[in-house]
Amino acid sequence: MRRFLVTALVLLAVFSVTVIAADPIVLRFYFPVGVAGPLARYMGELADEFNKAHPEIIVEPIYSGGYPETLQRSLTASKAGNPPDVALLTAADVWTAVDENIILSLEAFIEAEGGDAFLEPYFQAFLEDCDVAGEMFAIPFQKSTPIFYYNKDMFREAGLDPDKPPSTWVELKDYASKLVKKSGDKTVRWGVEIPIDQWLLSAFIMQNGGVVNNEEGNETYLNSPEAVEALEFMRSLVAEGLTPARRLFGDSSADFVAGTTAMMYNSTGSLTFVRDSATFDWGVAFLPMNVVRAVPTGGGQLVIMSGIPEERQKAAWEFVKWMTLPEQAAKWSMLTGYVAVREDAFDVPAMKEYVEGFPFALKAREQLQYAVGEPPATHAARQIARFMTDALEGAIAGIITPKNALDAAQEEAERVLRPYR
Amino acid sequence: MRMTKKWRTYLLGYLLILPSFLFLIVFTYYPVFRSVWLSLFQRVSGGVTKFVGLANYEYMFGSRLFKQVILNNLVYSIGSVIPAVLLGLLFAILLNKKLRLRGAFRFSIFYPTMIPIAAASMVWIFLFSQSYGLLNKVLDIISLPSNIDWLNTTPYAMVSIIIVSVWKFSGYYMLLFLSGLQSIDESLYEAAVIEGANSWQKFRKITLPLLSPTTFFVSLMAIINSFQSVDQVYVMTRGGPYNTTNVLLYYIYQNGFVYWDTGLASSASVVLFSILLIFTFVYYFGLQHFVHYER
Repeated sequence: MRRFLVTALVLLAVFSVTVIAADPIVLRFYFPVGVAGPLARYMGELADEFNKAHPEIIVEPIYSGGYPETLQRSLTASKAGNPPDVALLTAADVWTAVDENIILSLEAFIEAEGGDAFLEPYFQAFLEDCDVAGEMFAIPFQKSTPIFYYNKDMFREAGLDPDKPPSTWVELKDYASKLVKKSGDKTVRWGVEIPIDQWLLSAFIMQNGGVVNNEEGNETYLNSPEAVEALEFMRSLVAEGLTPARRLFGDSSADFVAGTTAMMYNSTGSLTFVRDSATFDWGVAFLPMNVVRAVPTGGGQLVIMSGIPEERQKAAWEFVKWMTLPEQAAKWSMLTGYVAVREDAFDVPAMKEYVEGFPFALKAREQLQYAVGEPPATHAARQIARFMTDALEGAIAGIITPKNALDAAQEEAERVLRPYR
Repeated sequence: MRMTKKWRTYLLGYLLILPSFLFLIVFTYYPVFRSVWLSLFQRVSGGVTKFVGLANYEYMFGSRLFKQVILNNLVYSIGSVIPAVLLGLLFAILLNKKLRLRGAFRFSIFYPTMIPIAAASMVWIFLFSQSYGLLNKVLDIISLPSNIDWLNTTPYAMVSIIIVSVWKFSGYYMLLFLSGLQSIDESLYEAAVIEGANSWQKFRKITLPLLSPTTFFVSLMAIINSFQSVDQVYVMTRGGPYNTTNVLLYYIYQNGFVYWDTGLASSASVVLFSILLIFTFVYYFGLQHFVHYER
């Protein structure tokens, strides 16, 4: 009898513990790591902080590879009926997630939080990346833009003013030709490096007054005269021996700190790396302009999956909202080097102090006034981006003329986008 | 009575193959038919697809990229299969002789086969690096052009992919050739020696013909392999620069799992399937008709 009692008590105890433990909502959060650094650990710390502040919700951050893999996993898990609750997707993939019907429109949540007043503190360009054909599907979380880096010591050596980085394309080419250094046929120092990526092609197109795609995201203008001229300019830098034919983002930042290029276009995400590795005096500036000043955004935003019950959706919204509050936005920016996603994050005391010791972070923020959401903002955006990269690679390598390359890209894009009209 | 016994034997046979047959149906035949079916659709907004008939094929065969992908794959196949098979044969013949440290040599040539190719490719990325790669350093020492950006320029990117494939697969082909060599009867060579044959004659008249089933098998394996390898491309070049290392399987992966263009990816899969089916037919047909067997 006594034994029975003990067993019963133990069972009861186990049962009640289980009941209590099962009570909080457990959210699964798929996140990628897109830049160097122990980001997975920081993400774990951030989630722990959230869990402590919200005993009724437990967020489980799950590392899911790069951005493409994160979409792959979210999509396949959703199709299999077992979606995660929250995911961190790049702008291109937000479009795909909407087309595949796996994420939730956030309009109702935003409305309940005060609508435009709730969105107001976020930088406008970052919100553009969350907007799919006029409807909000995401909240910005880790964002970056390209920014212009230059070696001040080399500027002095070439007789250029180290406080006057090139502000137009014409100046860019002029400075590059003064900074490039050759020994025989071999270039020992490049004038400027521009990583071969559609992100920067888009930047040049926009600076030339061109537009990559329409609002609805079902039409592109890749072979517009502005775009062709932009690509022709990029090609001319290579043809005139001022820029190497092919560098990726990582190669360029390595070359910059090694002193084999005097200037470079790179992500704001490389600021920390350059700061820690450069042994010379350097500076950052806005991207040089032509017709207008413009810069595209990049990075990831938080989405909530649609295949989950309502109370989980609510919990997921709590988490998404918390993650981008000023304190968290500031913290994530300081830990990772991403640009803080909202204006008021720069009022957080720790952030103020950080920016004081590292004023380049401010330059990145100032440049945001010229920022435009990440192109191509279209359906099948990754495919469109690929067509652009192909055109860029072909034209830069001199295999095909800029005009023909962009005509081909536009034709391919037409085929892909036609069903969405 | 006889009938039932016969039927029972049949039934037992079917029962025995049933488990693997089920797996084949679920994981091979069903996906094949499903791919053919999916290749007739195009994705449109809202997770919906639209029947488009053969439009995916029409687009694909008309596109510059697909033509290039097929061409790339042919270059890769020819470029990797011939050296890998020849090297495999050469190593097998050398290491079939009685040598000191024969085991160590055999092991060191075979061991790339055991390293996962993705991991090996990561190591090769370092060897191919333009500024600090071992390959350029060695080229520099022997006074050859040594400022090559292996993975980022044409045609070196494809050459790099081929080098890694040859390094990876020739050891495995060596193993197959070795087993083929060991099944050749020693007495044939003894007889040839008595007849006064030299080593070239022995190789030409005994080894090569008797090895032909193995050679045939290895060559076809290698060709099929060359249409199925994608890991090096994924890890080392991602199909670049300018799609010059984009091969068929990578094209399928890109369209299917990066762009989510299931229709186009399925069409390309059907093309790959057909190519492999043709080689499989060649294999079975060839086994019966071309290859020298001792019966």
